[in-house]
Amino acid sequence: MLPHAPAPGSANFLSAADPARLFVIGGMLLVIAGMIFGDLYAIFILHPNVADIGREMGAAVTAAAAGDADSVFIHFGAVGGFLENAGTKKDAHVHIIHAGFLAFLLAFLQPWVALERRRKLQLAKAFLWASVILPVSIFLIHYVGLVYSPLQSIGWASIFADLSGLVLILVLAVELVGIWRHMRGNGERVGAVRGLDSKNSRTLLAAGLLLVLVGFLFGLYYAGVHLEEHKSRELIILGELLEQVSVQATDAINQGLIAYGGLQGERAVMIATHAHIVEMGLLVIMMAIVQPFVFLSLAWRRRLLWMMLGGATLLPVAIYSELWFGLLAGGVADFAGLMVILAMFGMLIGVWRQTGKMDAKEEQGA
Amino acid sequence: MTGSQKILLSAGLALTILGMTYGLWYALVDEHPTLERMGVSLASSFAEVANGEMEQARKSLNTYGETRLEYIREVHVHGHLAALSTLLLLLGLFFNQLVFPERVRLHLASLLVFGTAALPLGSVLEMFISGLLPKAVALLGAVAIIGGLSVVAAGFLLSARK
Repeated sequence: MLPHAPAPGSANFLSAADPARLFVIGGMLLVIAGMIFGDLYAIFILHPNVADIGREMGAAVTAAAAGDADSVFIHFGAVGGFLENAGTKKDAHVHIIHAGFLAFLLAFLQPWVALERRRKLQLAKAFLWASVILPVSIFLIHYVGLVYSPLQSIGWASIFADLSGLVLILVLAVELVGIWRHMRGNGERVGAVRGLDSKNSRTLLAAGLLLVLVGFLFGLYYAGVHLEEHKSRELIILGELLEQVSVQATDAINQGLIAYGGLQGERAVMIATHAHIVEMGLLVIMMAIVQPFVFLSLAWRRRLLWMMLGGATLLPVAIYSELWFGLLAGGVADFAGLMVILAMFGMLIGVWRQTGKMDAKEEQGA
Repeated sequence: MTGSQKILLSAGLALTILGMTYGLWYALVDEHPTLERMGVSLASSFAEVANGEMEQARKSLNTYGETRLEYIREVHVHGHLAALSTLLLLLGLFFNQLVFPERVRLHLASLLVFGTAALPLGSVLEMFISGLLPKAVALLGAVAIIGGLSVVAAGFLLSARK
């Protein structure tokens, strides 16, 4: 069984001339690319990077115990480099996914943006180009550094990242003006989101709202119970390390370093769990909205739905389980991420087929 | 577009723009000096121990602690504004399908917008004011979002049953 034909009023949604088509497909591709990058980052960069940081931190502390202040700065410099390497990749992952989310949302806002179609198409293209340049530039920050930079502390990659961020802001500001114009009586009266009354949409909507809610509650729990404790524990561990370094207590220094590494891991896992539950929840709600436009058989849509829900639920659970099961849980998290990627890719194919069907109808009509 | 949708969509887009502008300002002006100060203060504390200057090392460690906290708060503001305003936009797209009367939806939309603004505002205030007020603002924001979203979820469950 295939989805119903477009409802009256939103029949032009996703047509060839509609900027919403660019936004939907571009947004889904951005999210998929961001998730693939996140999986690769977790597998190939995150864990080796943690080991490198631990090794250099240990070397810095050992140098301090030996009274070699110069080496301390050299090793901490290396720690900074590893942190920048991991941090820019994490930021690239987060920014590409968020740009994808915004593109997806803008698609469904288009009927309410009272601007010329030509202008809306230009905005969509500018938004998508900037959405690609932003994460690529962030990724390159670590590699480009300050080479040929006209500024003292900001390199060319950062300049391009900032410029593309500015383009995104300007596009959103113009879209907001368009929505205000619509509120004053211009533009289409009917929105693009159809009734979320199919079983697939309802299931995804309920699951997505639940995930977001659980993510918020987890964030509240983290802020209330762990945030201050982590902050004070970090300073206590580092303060004790300083004392132990001053008396050259080797065993205690090693234990301090292990405790410091453990705390960093604990904090990273909890923040990643919070962020991923909310992100997965938002993604699942978006997929609830897109269901009426997924032109696949009912059986395939059900398969993709359960794959999406399974992955979206398993991913944050596996990330949190890393506190106890380490890399094994990390592997499960990577697998869960892959499930979500495949489900999204399947739904994207469905949307693509929907647009193809619309194009064929238009051609027949012409 | 209903009144509650207008509130969610216009506030959602405005807060998204605010969050991105804050992120841009932060990346241009504050991020590099903050990260530099954080790294240098931590490295200095151990270098000072190596030179036998324990008192100075403790001071550098305190500077590290304060800078790290500032960094966490600044990232928190950008990240939370982005995620929460995305939620407002997302809900705004289909808020008219919620089972409640429009009057209730208007209150719910206002509550969610208030929470989205208050939670990061609490973190901003923490950078300038010490004490309970900033924490109370952030907590109020978090409770408003969680409470509002719980009612929205319940509303959609009721819609599905009907």
